[in-house]
Amino acid sequence: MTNEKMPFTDDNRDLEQLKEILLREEREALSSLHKTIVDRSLLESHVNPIVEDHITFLKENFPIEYARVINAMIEQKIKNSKQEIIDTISPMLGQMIQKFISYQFQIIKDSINEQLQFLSSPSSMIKIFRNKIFGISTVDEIMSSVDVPILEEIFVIQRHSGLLLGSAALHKTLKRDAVAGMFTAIREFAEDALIRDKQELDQIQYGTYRILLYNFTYCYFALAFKGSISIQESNAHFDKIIDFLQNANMLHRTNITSKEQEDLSEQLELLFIAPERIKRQAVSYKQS
Amino acid sequence: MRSKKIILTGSFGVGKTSLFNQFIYQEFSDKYLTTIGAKVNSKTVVTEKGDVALLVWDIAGEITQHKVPEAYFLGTSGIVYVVDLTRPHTFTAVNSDMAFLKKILPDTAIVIVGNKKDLVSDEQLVELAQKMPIVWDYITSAKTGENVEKMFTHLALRIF
Repeated sequence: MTNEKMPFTDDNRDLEQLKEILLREEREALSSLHKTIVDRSLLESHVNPIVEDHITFLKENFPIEYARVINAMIEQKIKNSKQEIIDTISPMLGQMIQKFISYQFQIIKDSINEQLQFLSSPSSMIKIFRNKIFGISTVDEIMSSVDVPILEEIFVIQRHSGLLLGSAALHKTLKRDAVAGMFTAIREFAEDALIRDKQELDQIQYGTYRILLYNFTYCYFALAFKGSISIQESNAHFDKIIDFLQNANMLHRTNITSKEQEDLSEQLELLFIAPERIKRQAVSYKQS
Repeated sequence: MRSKKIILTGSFGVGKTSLFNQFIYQEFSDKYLTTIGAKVNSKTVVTEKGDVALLVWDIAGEITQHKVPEAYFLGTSGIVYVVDLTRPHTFTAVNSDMAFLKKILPDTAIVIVGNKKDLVSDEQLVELAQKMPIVWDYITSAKTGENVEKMFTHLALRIF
């Protein structure tokens, strides 16, 4: 068989005409189909409803069809990343628990202190005396051995300027003057933005640390505690500060000398931090 | 040793925090940092008269719009007012800001600083000086550190 065209005879013409008649419908259908595929808008009009139907089906049936597969993938992923997840979550959980426990201790301590004040009546004294005879310790004794607040640092800061006038700490810390400045910035910001009616910011809580601020006309004291501190303990520190201020007239001046600042720091160490060192030793001895 | 509070102020993005970082830590951060509120740190500078511990407050916000707590300015011995040499519109409020600062802090030393010198040529600096309503005291670059230490040391000497 060759590719050469057949001579155009009458028979051939008849055959062509016959083919034309017989295949007309198929050719028209093919042409229409070709046009539909080539013309994007025509194709979209046919295909889009199908795609949309399928999307709707997926939206409605996705959990049924694929939930099992995805759950299996997630389970596998979690299984593989178990250690990473634990590493990420553990510190956050630990902090939350620590904060919660510290807060609960504080509530308990305040409540116990109230109870102890009540117990100072004669009849209650007999009860306490009896407990002592039988060697039963008071709740306060138990609590104090469990959660003793430790004064870690004390700052005397000039009001507004934030300049550090004196400080003492249990541990050596760097840049105390910058810390004093930041306390002042936080204090001024909070009072300006949040606190109304000429109130003053009196504490900042950070994790298990609580910074109590005692405000005076020319300066303020910032006491950083670790552990929970009751209202009574806070008041006791306030009384100590009042005693301290009675011997610190230079705080009224704006030009305090370096020597005076050093003297103030020494006094703070003696009055506030030295007793904390003894207290801390006593607690660790009791706990051991 | 004497301690003095100084504040850095000016419009957003003029380079206050970069000057702060350059002075305190001798470093420059190319990352744009919008300061929220205030950041405080300290550094001791040696002057002819003696050492001064500068407590530097990096304050955010347009000062005359009273967005900044006024208490931030109290007890201040020196002010560094920063403008951006690449954005002349940061110069426009200089006069009104100076009037505001002199009103609330009448006896405070103020230095006006044109920052981002590394981004302008000497010819551009001459043109910018003509646009500036008040003469600047220092031209600095927080990026290269040019004049930063010098500016703070001179201010410390003024407020000693």
